[in-house]
Amino acid sequence: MRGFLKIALAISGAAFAVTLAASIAVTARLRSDIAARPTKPGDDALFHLIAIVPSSDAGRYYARALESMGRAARKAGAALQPLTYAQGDAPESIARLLILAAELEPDGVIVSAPLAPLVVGAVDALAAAGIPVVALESDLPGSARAAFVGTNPYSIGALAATAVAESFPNGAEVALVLSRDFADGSPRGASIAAGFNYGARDRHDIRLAMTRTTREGPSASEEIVRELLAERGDISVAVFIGARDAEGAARALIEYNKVGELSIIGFDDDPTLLELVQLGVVAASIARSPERSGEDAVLAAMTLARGGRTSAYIDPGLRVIRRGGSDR
Amino acid sequence: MRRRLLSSFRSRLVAAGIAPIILMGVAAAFDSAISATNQKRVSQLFSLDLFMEETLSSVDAVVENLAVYIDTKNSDALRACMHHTKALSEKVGALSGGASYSEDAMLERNLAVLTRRMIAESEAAIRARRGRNIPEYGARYQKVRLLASFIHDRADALSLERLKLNLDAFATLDEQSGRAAALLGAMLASAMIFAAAVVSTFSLKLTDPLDALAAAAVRISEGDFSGGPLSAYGDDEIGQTAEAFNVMQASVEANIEEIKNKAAVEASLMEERLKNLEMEGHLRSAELKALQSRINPHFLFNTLNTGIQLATVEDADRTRVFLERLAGLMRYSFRDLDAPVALRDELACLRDYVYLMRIRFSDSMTFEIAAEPGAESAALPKMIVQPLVENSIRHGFADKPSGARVRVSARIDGGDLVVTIEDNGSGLLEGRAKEILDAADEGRELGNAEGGLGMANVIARLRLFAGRQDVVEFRDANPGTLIVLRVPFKEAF
Repeated sequence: MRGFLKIALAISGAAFAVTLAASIAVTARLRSDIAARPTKPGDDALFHLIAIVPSSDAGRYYARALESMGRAARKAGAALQPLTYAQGDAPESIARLLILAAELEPDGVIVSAPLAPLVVGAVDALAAAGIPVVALESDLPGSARAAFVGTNPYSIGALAATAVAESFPNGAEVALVLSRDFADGSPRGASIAAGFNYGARDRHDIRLAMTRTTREGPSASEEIVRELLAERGDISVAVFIGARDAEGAARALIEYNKVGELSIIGFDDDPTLLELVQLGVVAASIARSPERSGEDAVLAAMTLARGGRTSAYIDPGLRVIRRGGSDR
Repeated sequence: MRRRLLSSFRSRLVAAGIAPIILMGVAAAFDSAISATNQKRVSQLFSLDLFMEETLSSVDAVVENLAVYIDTKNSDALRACMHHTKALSEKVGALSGGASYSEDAMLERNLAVLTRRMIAESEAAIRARRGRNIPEYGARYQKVRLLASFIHDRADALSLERLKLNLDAFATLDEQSGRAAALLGAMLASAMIFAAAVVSTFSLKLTDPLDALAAAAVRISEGDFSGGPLSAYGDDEIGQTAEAFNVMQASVEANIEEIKNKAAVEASLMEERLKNLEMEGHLRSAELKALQSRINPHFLFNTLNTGIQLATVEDADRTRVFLERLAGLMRYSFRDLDAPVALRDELACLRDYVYLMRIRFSDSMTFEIAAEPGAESAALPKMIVQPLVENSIRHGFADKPSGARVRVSARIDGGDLVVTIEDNGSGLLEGRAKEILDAADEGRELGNAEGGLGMANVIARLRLFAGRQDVVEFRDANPGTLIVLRVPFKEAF
C-alpha cells in the first residue's frame, strides 16, 4: 500500500508540475497573442502603390501579375494595395476605383482597364493630383498615364504567324479569333492582325483568311469551332488570342472527335492549356509573362514615384510554347 | 536544535489539509486566467467591429446632418454635424496612418485618409454654406457623400479582411483553448490524485502508530507485558504519545508487581488468620466439651471443700487427700483452655488423675512419669497428655484387669519437646491411627469419645499450637501402643 502511494505521489506530482508548466506556457502564449499588435513594426512600408486590375481572368494572368507586383513592391519598400473589379464591369465602376485611388493619396497607381473616356478622365485626375499612373497590359492612349507596361499586340500577331509557319510547313488558311480584350476592329485587334500578316509575309502559303471576336458568355469558342468545321473547311488553323477561348476550342475538338481536322494555336501558359499542348490537341501557344509585366510595372511606378523618368512603353516580351519546349 | 519542518503531527495534518486546497487553487487560478485571457481575446476579436460600427454611424450622421444644415441652416444639425466630425477626428487618431505591408493596416490607412478628407470637405461645405457660395457647397457636399460611400466600401473591405484574420485567430484561439482545457483537466486530475495520495499517506502515518498503540493497550489490558516498549515514532505527537505509553506501561507493570506482592502477603496473613480462626474453633469445641462436664463448678468445689473439711475433722486422711487431688484435677481442667501451660502443670494434673485412677482401680496399674530437666518448663496446650493417658486406660486396658502399665516421658530433642505415652495394653486396632488422624484433619471428633476431650481434638489443637502437621505419631509397642508427641520447644511463662 505504502509503495503504491509513493508511486502515486511521485507520478501525480510530476504530472501536476508538467501540466502546470505547460499551462503557464499556453497562458503566456495566449497573453502574448493578445498583446501583439495587428501590425508589427516590420510591416511599415515607405511607399504606397495601388493596383487596379480585374479580379479574375482566363489563365490567371492578372492574379499572377498581382503576385509578382506584390513581391516587387515589397522589394522596393512599397506596399501594394490591389483594388479589383470584375471583367466586364462598366467603365463607371473602374473610374470610381480610380477616383477612390486618388482620394487614398498613394505614391503611384498601376491600372489595367479598357479604354473609355471615364477611365481616361479619372487617370487624368490622378495625374493632375501628382500621382503617377502606369497602364498595365491594356494601354490608355490619350490619357495622362506616365507609362505603359504590356505586350505589344503587333508582336503577338507576328509571333502567332511565326508559330503557324513553323508548325505547318505546308501552309495554312488561318482564322484569327480575338477575345474581347483584343476585339476585332479595335486598335489592339488591328495591330494583332497587322502583326500576323507581317510575320507571315515570307510565307505565301499562310494566309489570314478570317478574323473573329468571341462573344461574351459560355460556349463562345465552341460556336466558333463548330462554325469553322461546318462552314469553313478551308480553314486549317485557328489562332485564339485568349487563354479561355483556346482551351474551350480544344475541348470542343476533343468532344467532336475532330482533333487534327482543325489545328489550334493557343494563348498564354495556363497549365490546362500546356497540358493540351503536350497532348497535341493544341499545336502551340503564344504566351505572355505576367510575372515580368507585374515586376516591370512596379519598377516603372516606383521610378516615377521617386521623381525619376521611365520609358513610356515597356514590353515584357512573348514566347512560343510547343510540345517539348518553348522559345521567345 | 532547529525543529524539522512538519515535525509535529498537527503541522502534518494542516499540510495534508492545505496541500489539496493549494493544488486545486492553482488549477482554479489557471482556469480563471485562461478564461479571462480567452474572454479578452474574444473581446479583442470583436473590438474592431464595434469601432467600425461607431465610425460608420458617425460618418452617416455627418452626411445626414450636413445635408440638413445645407438645406435649412438648422443650428441643431450643424451642432450634431460638428459633434460627429469631432468624434470622427478622435477615432481617426486610433487608426494606422502609414503605409504597411499588412493588408488590414493598409485598409485602416485608407479609412484614416478618407475620413480626414471627408472631415475637411464637410468643414469646407459648412464654410461655403455660411458664405452662401452655392456652387461650392453643393460640390463639397457631393464630395462628402462620395467619400462617405468610399469609407463604407473600405470599412466593408476591412471588416472582411478582419473577419479572415479573426477566423484564423479564432481557430488558433480555439486550438489553444482546447489545449488549455485539456491541460487544465490533466492538472486537476493529477492534483486530485496527488491530494488523495498525500491524505492517504498521512492517514497511514497516523493510523499505523495508533493501531500499534491500541494493540499494545489491549495486550497490556490482558496483563501481557511481553511486548516490550513501543518502537520510536519520531518526535511528533504520536512519538510523544508512544513515549508516554511506554512510561505508563512500565509504571503499570511495576504497580501490578507490587500489587501481586501485597496480595501474596495478604494471602499469607489471611492463611494465618484462618489458622487462628480454626484454632479458636477447636478451642471453642474443647471449651464446649469442658462446659458440658462443668456442672455447677462452684457448687462442686464448695462440696469438695466441705468433704475435705469433713475428712480432716474425722481424721480420714486418705479421703482428704483423695478429695484434694480430685479438686486439683477439676480446678486444672476448669482453667482457660486458650492459654498454654507448662508441661509441669500438665504432668501435675496427670499425677492427680493417676492417683485417682489408682484409688479407683487399686494398684493394679503402674504409672511412670518421667521428665528430663528443662522439659517441664516447655509450653504446651492444656489437657493434652491427660486425655491421651485416659484413652490408653479406657481402651488399652479394658480387657486387662492386672499388670497394666503406662509410662509418660518428656525430653527435649533437637529444639522439640518430645512427650511419649506408652502402654502395654491391647494396642490400636488396625486402621485406628489413620481414622484418628483423618478425623483431626477434617476437624471432627470420633464417635466413641465418651466424654472428655477426644484424641482428634487433642491432635488438632496440638497442630495449631505447633504450626505443623506432624505433631503426633502412633507406634505399635508390641504389646501396647506408643504415642509420640513432638512440638517446637517454647518456654512457658
